[in-house]
Amino acid sequence: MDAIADTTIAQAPGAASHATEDTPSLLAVVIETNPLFWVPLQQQTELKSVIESLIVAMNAHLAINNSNEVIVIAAHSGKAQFLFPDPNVLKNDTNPPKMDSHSPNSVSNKSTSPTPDVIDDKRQYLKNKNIYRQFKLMDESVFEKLEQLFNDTVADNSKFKSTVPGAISMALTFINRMRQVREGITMNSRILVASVGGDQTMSYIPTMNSIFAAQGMRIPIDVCKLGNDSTFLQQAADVTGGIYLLITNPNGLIQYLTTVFFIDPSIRNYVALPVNNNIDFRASCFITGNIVDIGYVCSVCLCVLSMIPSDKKCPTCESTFDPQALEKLARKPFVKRKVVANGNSETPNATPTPAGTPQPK
Amino acid sequence: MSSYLFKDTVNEYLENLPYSMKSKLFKSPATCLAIYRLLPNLAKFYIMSMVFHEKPVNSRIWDVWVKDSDQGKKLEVEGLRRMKSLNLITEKNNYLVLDEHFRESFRNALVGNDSHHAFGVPCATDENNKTSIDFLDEFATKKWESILHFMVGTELDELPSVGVLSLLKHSGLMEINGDITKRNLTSVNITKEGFSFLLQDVNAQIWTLLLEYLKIAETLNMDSVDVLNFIFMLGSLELGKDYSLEALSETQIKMLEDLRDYGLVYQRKASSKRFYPTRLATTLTSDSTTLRSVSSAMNKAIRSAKQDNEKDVKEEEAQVDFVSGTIIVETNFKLYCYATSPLQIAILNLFVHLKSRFSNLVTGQITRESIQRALKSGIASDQIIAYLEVNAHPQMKKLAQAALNKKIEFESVNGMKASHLSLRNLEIVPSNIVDQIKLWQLELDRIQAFGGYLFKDFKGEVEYKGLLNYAEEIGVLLYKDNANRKFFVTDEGRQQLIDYASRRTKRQKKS
Repeated sequence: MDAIADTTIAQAPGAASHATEDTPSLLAVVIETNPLFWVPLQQQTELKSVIESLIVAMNAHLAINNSNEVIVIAAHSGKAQFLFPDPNVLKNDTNPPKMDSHSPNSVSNKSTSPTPDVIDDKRQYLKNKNIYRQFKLMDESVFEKLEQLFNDTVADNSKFKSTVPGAISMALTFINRMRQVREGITMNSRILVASVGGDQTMSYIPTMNSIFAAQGMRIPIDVCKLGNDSTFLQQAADVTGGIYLLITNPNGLIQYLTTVFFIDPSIRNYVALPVNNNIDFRASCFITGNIVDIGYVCSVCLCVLSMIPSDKKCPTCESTFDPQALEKLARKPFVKRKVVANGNSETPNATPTPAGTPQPK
Repeated sequence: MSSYLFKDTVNEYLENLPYSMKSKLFKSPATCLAIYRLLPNLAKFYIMSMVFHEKPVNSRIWDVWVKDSDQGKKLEVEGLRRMKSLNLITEKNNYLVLDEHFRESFRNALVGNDSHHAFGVPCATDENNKTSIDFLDEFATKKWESILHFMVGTELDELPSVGVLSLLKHSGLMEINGDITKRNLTSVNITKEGFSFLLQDVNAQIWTLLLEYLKIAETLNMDSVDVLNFIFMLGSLELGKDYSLEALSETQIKMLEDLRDYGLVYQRKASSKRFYPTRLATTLTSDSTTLRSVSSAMNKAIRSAKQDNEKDVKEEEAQVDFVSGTIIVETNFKLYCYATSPLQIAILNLFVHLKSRFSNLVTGQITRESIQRALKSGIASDQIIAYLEVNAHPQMKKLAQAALNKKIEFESVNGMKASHLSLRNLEIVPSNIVDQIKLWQLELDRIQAFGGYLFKDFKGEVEYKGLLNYAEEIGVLLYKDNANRKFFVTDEGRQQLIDYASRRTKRQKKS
């Protein structure tokens, strides 16, 4: 029976190659917009030109297929926010009235008949410029929301915190909901992170959590990194099968975005992706921020430490460490049973000691 | 499954256009976008990588991009062939150049820097009474269904318009005798092509008719570029909006009248200065997923029309519960279809032995006879399977999805690479049914024809053996008869074999 089936299938030439093409795909773009992170990059590029390139790339994504979709999330200072589609519209919320002019039926561009005043509003835009409506809806929404975001931002140095992991998990939840809501319609999804900031110790756990969630959902995370390398995002791309690329020349960003970051999940199996062979898998110490080879791990929240904190409490989850265990650990290089307790790992070159060999003091 | 059929036919048509016409087409951003969407995925990637890259690209770079696998190479060759035959790229000394017109228009489309009104001119003023999307859906459904009903021979109150009738006749979908212009028909018969036409999805059907329309348009001295541009523009318009006739050419205004008959656009009056694209038009360049929503929207329109007549509230509720027109196929070849439309029942009757009909359900059995009857009338087994898949009940899709997920999970747990299992492994229709339908088709296709050349009258056993072995080695041999020293090779193999033979004789002469 198998043999027969094979021949019958083989008789339809091209059947396989066509079948892979019809699946629409969803691109979730996470843009780091925190102004503080952009300051060091001033010499190279500015947020505006990066956003412009990203918008063109998103238009290009929409151009692939009529049912392709884009969501845009800004990782801003202190919070992550949807730029497109408008979450208020998604919830079928009526407020705020200013907003719902943009994406009433762009979310799925079917269903929901727009109310007359919405049409009027959109006509204003359509009159301004002549552009494909799908692009238009997205572009306008992104720009307006961004402007609003920046107007609302108060200068505050305390918000020097990365919200990228938050934005990634927002994207993941959105994709998950799309999968629930639209039964029967399957979509390839991927996340593209445009990041400028460096690694932050506190975001290690949220980053890892979202990475593993993405891995479980089989969603690749592509990382377009400006500025300096990021260990966490490298790991994100590696674990989820995405692409990590450090852009050294941001002026040519659009070319990167339309080649390397344009590889749709449907052709990923056939295209040679750029591979990153030296990924730093090490975690960083939560107190000193140093990258740790061997260190202590909090048994509650799995936070990584290079030294025993002075207050005997985990700096992340604040759980008190067992004094007995600490005592044992404090008896430094002494090796007990098979456990190697090495407290000297602050030096990056520290090598693990083979079990059973006591280390000279 | 079947959506690529329409892609292929449209592509074929575009590929065969002369270059002068294509370069005219490339000047419209909307057309460029539509052409781009029709390309295979890998070609889309190639084009996109060239749009913002001014310099010619070495063709070897693309080889590097594609992984060294059979499937990948096949896709690459296919992508390149398509782009070349569409004149999108030209090759000069191993360097590939993107067509300048295309690059410019496509870039304009992406960046939103366009002055051609390619995406339609919306009306500036409001119309007194707006036309709702529901109304447009109903209008489109009514028009389109009436054409299909006419084809399956349902009694209609009113015949389709002259334009539709002549189009059906010219396309060879129907045999219509009698005076078309006076609507005085003596006999109407559906052809083999007509049967397979009915099984296609709505989009493919519309494209079939539009391409026929293009052929007729050429004979009527209409500008094909204008016609095509207009069709592609319709695909990029927004549903429920009114567009002005201002930017349209004369040809395009003339087209509106015909398109109205197919239900693609709506105008309140023939003299109206505005038109509304319907769902049929706005999804022209979309693919199957949106199509499903088209058909469900269509079903909704039908249902709401029906509900007006039925006053029984309970029945209404019952009707909302199931999705109209969906099919359940069991592994025992029994088929159930929630169908109320005589059109769908008529289509099912083409390949199913229908047994009983209830108020909202028909049941039937897929039998060897019923399938072979359909195959003999010109329907391909693939079309039947595609029809069953596209119209499958959501519950069947859910089951198939769950089965696939289990499989992927199983393989990844066992450390196997699950990446080859993609959505195309989704078995919506039970696999034994699919195989059996294909087997029934094979029963009919017992004879396969090959074009080729017969070689005979060899000088001796040595020459015969030598040439035969060579033919076998290069894989062009189709048949051999050792006793009579004859063999048969394919068309492509002939020249290679002759070259080999002449080299052989030369060598022999020398020695």
